[in-house]
Amino acid sequence: MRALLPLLACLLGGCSTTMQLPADFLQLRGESGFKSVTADDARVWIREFADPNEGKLEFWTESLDRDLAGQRGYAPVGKGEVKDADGRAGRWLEYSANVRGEKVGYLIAVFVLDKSLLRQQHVRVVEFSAREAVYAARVAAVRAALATVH
Amino acid sequence: MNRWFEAVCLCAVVSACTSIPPSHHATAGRASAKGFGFTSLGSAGGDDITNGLQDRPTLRSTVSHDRSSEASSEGTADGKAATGTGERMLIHRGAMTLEVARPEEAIAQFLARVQEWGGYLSSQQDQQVTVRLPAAKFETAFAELRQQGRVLSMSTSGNDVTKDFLDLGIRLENAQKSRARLLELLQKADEVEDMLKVEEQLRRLTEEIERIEGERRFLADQVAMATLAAKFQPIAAANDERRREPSRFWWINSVGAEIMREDF
Repeated sequence: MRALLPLLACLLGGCSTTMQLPADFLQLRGESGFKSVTADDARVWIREFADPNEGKLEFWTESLDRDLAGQRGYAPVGKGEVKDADGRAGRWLEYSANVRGEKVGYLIAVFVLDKSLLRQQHVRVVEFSAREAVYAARVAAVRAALATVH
Repeated sequence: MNRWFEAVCLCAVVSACTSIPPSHHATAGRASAKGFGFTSLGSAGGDDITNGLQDRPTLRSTVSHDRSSEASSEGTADGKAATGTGERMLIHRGAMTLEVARPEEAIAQFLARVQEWGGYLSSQQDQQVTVRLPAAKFETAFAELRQQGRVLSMSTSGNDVTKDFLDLGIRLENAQKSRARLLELLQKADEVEDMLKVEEQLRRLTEEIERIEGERRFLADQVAMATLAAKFQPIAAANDERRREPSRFWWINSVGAEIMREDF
């Protein structure tokens, strides 16, 4: 029975998400979602959003891109596909943006978590952002770490 | 004697003050020799003047030689601007407007590099700086500047002043020779009226020589030191200020770089 507790917890409240980032990232405890930072203020944030509409991965990534590039004026830098640690297909989008007069890099990866017996469909979003120079130095490692998201 | 003096002075000054048209470049020596009016004056009977005629071939070769060597010597003395081997004298100017995250930091960094290159800050107004730097470093500076931020606009120009510089050289030489000739005449003048007239022409010629020398120094300086104007603009809150229509999907409104910076 004790062995089934984690499984039960996953089914009821969702498993806690993890990601294997480089050693100089510090994971923040007690935060909503998975948050990790570096001393030079690179930030990684993983969150899950309920998706009662059950949209497909293509739909969400296109909607996201239209909002970021079309509405907010982000400059697209690149895009690609990725699979997480569970083999789930995802897509990442990369942008250059201005935040409070400062140029920052921004990467967002989207995974669709299919609904389960006790849980509706969710969209898992992995975001990485930092000032331009910091971002440029770290983005490759973070992009590679997307494959470790679990 | 008075008429003779007047004619000589007038010819000397006229020849010294007349710029050499471009078409005369190929025959600069001949133009200069004729410019003194020595041929006609010589036939008019002045012994000392006809002696000048003997210099004509020499003068021609000297001037044509100097047309190349002038640039060489000036270039060496005033900043290695040009050589006598056909190298052009170009005035390099450039301007660039950049979008950078931190303008003050970018300006300080740029000025430090300019100093390393042997340049200096010419003027600064807010976030716009104008620097002078050795022409040889102009391309490097321009390329490095481009890397400092997002380029919003840029322009460069290279104004060829080789001909202007050589023209000034010829005019200067003519003026100097005329002045030397007037000094000779002054020594031979025995009437006060003649002496005053020559001295007046000498004064005008001296001013002309100083003016030409000043122009040449200015040109040589402009060639030796390029001018680069750089304007550093803070990254405009292009997307910050952009009017945004929220997404109909709430979670999309909850993600983004600005959310990452503010609500993380």
